[in-house]
Amino acid sequence: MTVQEAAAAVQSELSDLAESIETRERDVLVRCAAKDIPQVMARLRDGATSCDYLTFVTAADYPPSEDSTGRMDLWYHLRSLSLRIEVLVTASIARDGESVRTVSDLYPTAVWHERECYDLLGVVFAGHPDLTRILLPDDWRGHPLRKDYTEDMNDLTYTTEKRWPEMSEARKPGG
Amino acid sequence: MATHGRKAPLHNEEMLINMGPQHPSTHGVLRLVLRLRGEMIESCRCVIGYLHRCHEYISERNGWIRSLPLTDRLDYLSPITCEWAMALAAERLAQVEVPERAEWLRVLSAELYRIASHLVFVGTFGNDLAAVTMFLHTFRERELIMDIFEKLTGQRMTCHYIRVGGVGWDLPAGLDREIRQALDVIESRLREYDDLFTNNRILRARTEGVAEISAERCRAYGASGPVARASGVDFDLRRDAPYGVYDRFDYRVILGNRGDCLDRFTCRMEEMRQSARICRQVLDGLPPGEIRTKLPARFKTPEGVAYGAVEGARGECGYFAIGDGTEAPYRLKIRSGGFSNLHLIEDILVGWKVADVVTILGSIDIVLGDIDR
Repeated sequence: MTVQEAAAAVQSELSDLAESIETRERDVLVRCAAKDIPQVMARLRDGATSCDYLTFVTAADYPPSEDSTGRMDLWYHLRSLSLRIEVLVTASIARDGESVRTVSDLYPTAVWHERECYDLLGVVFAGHPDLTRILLPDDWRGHPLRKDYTEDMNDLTYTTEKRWPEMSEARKPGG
Repeated sequence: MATHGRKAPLHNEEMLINMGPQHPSTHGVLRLVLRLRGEMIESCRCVIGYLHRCHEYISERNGWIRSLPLTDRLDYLSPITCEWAMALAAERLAQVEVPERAEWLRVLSAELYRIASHLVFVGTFGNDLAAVTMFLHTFRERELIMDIFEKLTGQRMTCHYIRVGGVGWDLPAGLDREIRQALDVIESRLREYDDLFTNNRILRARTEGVAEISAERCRAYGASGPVARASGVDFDLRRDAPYGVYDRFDYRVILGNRGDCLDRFTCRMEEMRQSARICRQVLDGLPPGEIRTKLPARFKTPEGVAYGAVEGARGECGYFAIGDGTEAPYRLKIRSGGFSNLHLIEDILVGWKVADVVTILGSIDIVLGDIDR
């Protein structure tokens, strides 16, 4: 299936949900509202586009500036292994306080990808079965891929004295 | 009266076993938390992140050119994959043309390294199953490819060969003959491996029918590469989402039919033969010309999004980049094949015995550098 045919198929599936559908060189880019994400993904999976493969889920952080209040862009990359097409789905949410519904019930692979997205960017996926950190330690503070993250949010100078105070006592000469 | 243990009720309680992070069969620092009843696995949880080196964070600050060499440290057993994927994302974003000869050299290096990577798999998989001979044999053959890369790039593993807009170095004089000789040797040794492993009754008994994965489950869990193809998922990025010049070559996409551990092994064995075929075709038809497009002194990517994905030895390795007109990507997401393939483990281990964990994990062929990024 060519990109043009894919775009037409996506258009017919999502005519009422998509805010815009753009045909690009290799993929079709769909913009929609964050609340519609599960519905959009379900239709792309079960409809004529048969996007049965979720490649990845990620987000990009845009902190507040003079002319905007900031936002978090979500990105989902879908493939149809049978039709050989690629669809990018994107939606925006507020940086804090707004969550997006998980797609892990549609695509089990999203369980880990959404955990990673939460871990590194702090996106909250509502209804996720196990939204915990995956790459960073559980006691990590902050989400490093947010643009306002600073390295002093975590004390990385792990010394024996800080980690195990009782051991540093025992190591004193004559102790 | 003593019962000698025979009439006592069988202990069948739940047990939590921690495998790793320091365990020789987890291929790096991976921790598996296994919940067992007797010897049977009831659930499994993977704990990853021990090798997280903040590649995305570094790349968003260092910029394209300065973070390209770092990609070698992701999947260190097939570094060309990650280099190519990152260069591809940058080229697609900035619309950089790659010279014909460079595309062919990329294919040559990627396929040679695919063979090297699969040789490590065959060796370590044998090692996991206590067939240590395999390990010694395959590392001997891998050394031939390492020598070629040393002559081509100056490095054995972290070679930094693929650059944005081309490749780093041209083929030195006489190396094509050496590559052909190495391929001949490796292909003849593959037949030896078949005798040692594929037709070995003990090893077959431990792998045949073990952990069969259905094609639907592979798709649902986002598995890719040889793991998915062994289950019959007919998808190969080289053929189905073409990049580079793969459409010029004649090769087969290898599929398994059962999706068990043996299929995952034989798929990779056959892929090595196909890769050797591609390498020979490259050497036969290598076009003359430039090897690199001249980039501006400050390479910048325009605003937009691009996704570059290549078929690595461990599945789909993709770089998703959002450009903002500067020398660095505003956001760079690395999609590694191993990450999704490992997720599958949590599901397929259930119902198998502890003794099979090492076999099943080995058959997925993970590299933690690639998973933790």
